[in-house]
Amino acid sequence: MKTLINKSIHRKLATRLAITGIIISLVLGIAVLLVERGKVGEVVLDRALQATVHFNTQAGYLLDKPGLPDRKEIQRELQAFVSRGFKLRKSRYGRMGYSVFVRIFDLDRSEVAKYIDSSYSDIEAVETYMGSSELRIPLDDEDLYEIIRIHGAPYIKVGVPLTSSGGDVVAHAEGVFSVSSEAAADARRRALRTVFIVIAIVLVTTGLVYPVVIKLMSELKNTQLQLIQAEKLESIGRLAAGVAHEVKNPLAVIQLGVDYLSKTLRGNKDATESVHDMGDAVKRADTVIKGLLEFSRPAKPKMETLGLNNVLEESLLLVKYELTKNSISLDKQLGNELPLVELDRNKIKQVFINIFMNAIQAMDSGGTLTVRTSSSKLSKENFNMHCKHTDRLKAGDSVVITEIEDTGTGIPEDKIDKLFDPFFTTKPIGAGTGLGLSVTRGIIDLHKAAINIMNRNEGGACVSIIFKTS
Amino acid sequence: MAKKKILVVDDEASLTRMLRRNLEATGKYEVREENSGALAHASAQEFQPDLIMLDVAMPDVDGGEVAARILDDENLKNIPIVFLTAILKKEEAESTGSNIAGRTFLAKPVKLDDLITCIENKLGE
Repeated sequence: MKTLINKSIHRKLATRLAITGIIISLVLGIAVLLVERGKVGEVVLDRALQATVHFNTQAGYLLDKPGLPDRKEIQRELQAFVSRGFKLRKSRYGRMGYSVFVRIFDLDRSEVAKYIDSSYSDIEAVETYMGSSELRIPLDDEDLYEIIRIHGAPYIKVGVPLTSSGGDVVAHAEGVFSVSSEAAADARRRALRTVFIVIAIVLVTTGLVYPVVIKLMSELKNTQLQLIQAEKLESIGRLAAGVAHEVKNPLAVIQLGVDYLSKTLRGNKDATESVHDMGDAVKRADTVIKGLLEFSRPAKPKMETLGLNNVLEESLLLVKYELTKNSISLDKQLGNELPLVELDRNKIKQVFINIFMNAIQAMDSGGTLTVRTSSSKLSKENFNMHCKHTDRLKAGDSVVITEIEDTGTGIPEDKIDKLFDPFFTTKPIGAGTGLGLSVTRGIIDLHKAAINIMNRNEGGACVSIIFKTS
Repeated sequence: MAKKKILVVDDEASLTRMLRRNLEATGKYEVREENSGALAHASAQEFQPDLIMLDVAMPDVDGGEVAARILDDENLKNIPIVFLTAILKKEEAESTGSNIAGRTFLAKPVKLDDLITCIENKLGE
């Protein structure tokens, strides 16, 4: 039952975590793509600036050359210069682009030179663009640079004044540069790489965090179950004490009535017998009440440092008759030189006898009762299997383990979680009060020990009790 | 031999009635029943018992309070008191020799034989 609940919790949690992971990845991925896209623009601008500076210096030098007064001469020289050198330089990002169209104007804004890259296949579009207003992306206060789109593809438009070496503006140049697809692809690649890294980080983190979350969740669940159980036991305990008190008064009346009648009815056989039966009934009722009170306020244990095997042997003596009567053979596998354990001899005897009697009742047509003791360090496996409900033992503790196995009917799986609940019993009505194992559990808790009951694969049940050694 | 007088205080009338019937049947005791804790002290003053059997949990004035009033009374303070209570388990009462903090306790339901043994011990002291 518990594992089923755990599994469904795990599945729900896993789904939730996976969805969260995917959403985070997507959001981060989109954010990265947006940022990287913006970067394409920045990078392009950066390149354009370099190209402009280069252009400016060269042009100034050119215009200052003596012996070139003629406009046509200038135009020719500029054209030569432009077709020769007006290419964007290589940068650390690779080739960013090249000029596809350059025009140079004099101060009156009349065109003095024009350069068109003949290899460019869409010159017409560029020429059309040059006169039109295009999408302008303001990247800076600087009006000289613009990113424009022609048929959706990005180009840089640059306008610069051309100065002489004396610092005078002698002409204006306007150029359009393509952005190499290589650079854009590079930026896209980098964006994608970042997205993958982000997704990987999210997935790895999810992977690392998941088991921790699961552990925390199951610990929380465990603590909650323990709290609920403790609360339940406490309220039942209070109820039990109240009920016990209320029932004892009428029982006292009946008992005294029985005593009175048994004296006055002497001589009448039937009446005497009836009164005797009534007396027995009172005794039985009182035993149940005693169990209730035991459960509601277990007396303080008297701790001694003892060998567990001795206590087991003493307890076995007390059920010897029951074993023989029910043709049950006893298989004792008691460990040698076990470390001593702090325990209340009588209470632990009560625990053992209780478990023996349960085992004997489960083997009504004979069988084998195996009693085994051993000492070891508490393994993780044993801890997980037997000590989950207690926070007093931890893996690695030195412990003495007692196992009591029967070859009886075992416990129905749907009942196994309820065995320690007060008033829960699998025995026929009247055969058990349903308090035995609750009291047992109470005693085990007093000893800061752990108890667990499970079905054996071979049939029958196994009760494990784990004591920390002193 | 004069009969010993026993005052039985318990809010449950059927119990005091049963106690009276049983104790008087022995021929050794004269029993007075009192079903109110509040009136117990006055009953004791009037009846002058040789022993008082006192319930602990009573709705008006509880057994502890009744005992305190009797112990404060110069004329009554030497009368032995046996507490009869449903609060204790039989084993708890017995394991302490029916003696808790110097007081004698019997756990309900009590067997008549145990009750009489206890009364005789107290009266013999």
